[in-house]
Amino acid sequence: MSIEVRIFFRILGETVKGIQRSKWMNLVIITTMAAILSIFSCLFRSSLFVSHFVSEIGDSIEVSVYLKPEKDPKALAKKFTDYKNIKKIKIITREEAWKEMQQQVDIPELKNPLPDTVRVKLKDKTQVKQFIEVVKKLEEVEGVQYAEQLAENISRIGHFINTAAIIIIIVLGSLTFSIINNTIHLVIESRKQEIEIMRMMGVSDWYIKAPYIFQGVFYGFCGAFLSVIPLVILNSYMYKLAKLFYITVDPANTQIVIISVLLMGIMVGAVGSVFSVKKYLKV
Amino acid sequence: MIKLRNTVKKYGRQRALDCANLHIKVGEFVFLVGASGAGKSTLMRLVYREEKPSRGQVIVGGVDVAKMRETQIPYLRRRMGIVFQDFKLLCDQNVFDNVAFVIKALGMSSREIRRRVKGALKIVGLPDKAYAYPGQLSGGEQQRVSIARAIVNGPPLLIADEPTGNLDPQTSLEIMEILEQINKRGTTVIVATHDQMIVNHFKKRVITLDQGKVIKDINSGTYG
Repeated sequence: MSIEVRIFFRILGETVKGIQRSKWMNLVIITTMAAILSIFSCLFRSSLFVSHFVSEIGDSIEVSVYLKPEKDPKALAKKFTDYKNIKKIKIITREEAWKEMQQQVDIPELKNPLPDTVRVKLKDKTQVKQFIEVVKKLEEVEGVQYAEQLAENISRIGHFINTAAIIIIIVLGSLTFSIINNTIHLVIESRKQEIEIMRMMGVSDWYIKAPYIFQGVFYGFCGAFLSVIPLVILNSYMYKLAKLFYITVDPANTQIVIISVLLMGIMVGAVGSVFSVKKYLKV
Repeated sequence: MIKLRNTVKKYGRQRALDCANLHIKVGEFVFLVGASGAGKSTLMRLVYREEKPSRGQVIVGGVDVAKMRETQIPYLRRRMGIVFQDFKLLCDQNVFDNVAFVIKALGMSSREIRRRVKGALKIVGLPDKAYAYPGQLSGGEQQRVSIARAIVNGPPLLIADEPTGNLDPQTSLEIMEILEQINKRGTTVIVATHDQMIVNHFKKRVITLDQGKVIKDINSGTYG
């Protein structure tokens, strides 16, 4: 075994020793971290679910663009393909629309009063208003129909979810960072004499510091790992709710949340303890 | 081994060391004596680079430690053993672990660690106490453990700052005899003390400090 590998394992050994010596403090820190990270993971999962829910509803809404008589719907559709935000374009000729209407409703013999229509679905529902404004100005367009109130609500919910998610991530991130930072500070304080002796005996800087950083990472990881339990429970409720509304739940979203919360736990654990070591452990 | 050239150390306006000039050769045994506040501990702290001189040079093993980068300090300290008045042992670790933890950090193999710790404990006369805890040992035994820890890495220089300050006269003599034995094996030993009995008994080189100045430097000297 090379010296570097041996030193690495000894640092891990020192980390384990440090954790063992922290006794009840480990429990307090890990459960606190788990509680905070649970809030984070559940909110994150909920926001993904609501976004998905909103998107599913939004998907069923289309913008119907009615053409003036004698205008070519294909030419208009071609114009739309130049827009980046277009998800789907469908042309319904006045003949098709009339035929469909006749099938659905019993209409007496009349001359077809319907216009040619181009139905458009957008990728980003929040951009609908701007799109309608542009389309209305086109000379071949007679009128535009869209569930405006619903579109506005979707746009508002989307914005709210994004903003809330960012704020929550910042607040909870700072909170977990602060907990790790203070815990490692306490650990350093309780071992000041030991650190002092190590310094005097010529133990290298990183050999002294690394166990504290690993200890922070350990707390972050354990807290994140435990926070997956409430997430799994929440997930089962979401599946039930989704079934009720006939919408699908993307299992990848749960995996994204689990990976995110684990990474967040580890990262905040590492950064919090590095910060603490830099501030309080002067070697 | 150690050279001080016009070394000054000031704390605010007060000069803890005042234009000190010294040369300690390899293999010497030196007593640094003087009253409290004479500058003994300051001189020691300059040698193991716990402090930087305000002026002048402190050369250890050919290197001016005042110009040494922070990252180099651990390497300097690995080439010396330090013994303190208050032993500085880790109470929750047994004697073996107290002695071994420095060489563990250097990445030595477990077999080599066992061999070295055993050897160091034998030199200080504690071969059977490897698994005792500091709390179970007398003051003299604790200081022996501290010496074992200082020599386990085989440093060419041993610095002891008031190593007998907390011990009775008989135990103090025993500790000094151990340091003398270590010196006879080729290690340079510097002992800061104000224990007259010890200094007079061993008749080694005595450097006397007073108010930060080297006022006397005598081979085979006595206190005062």
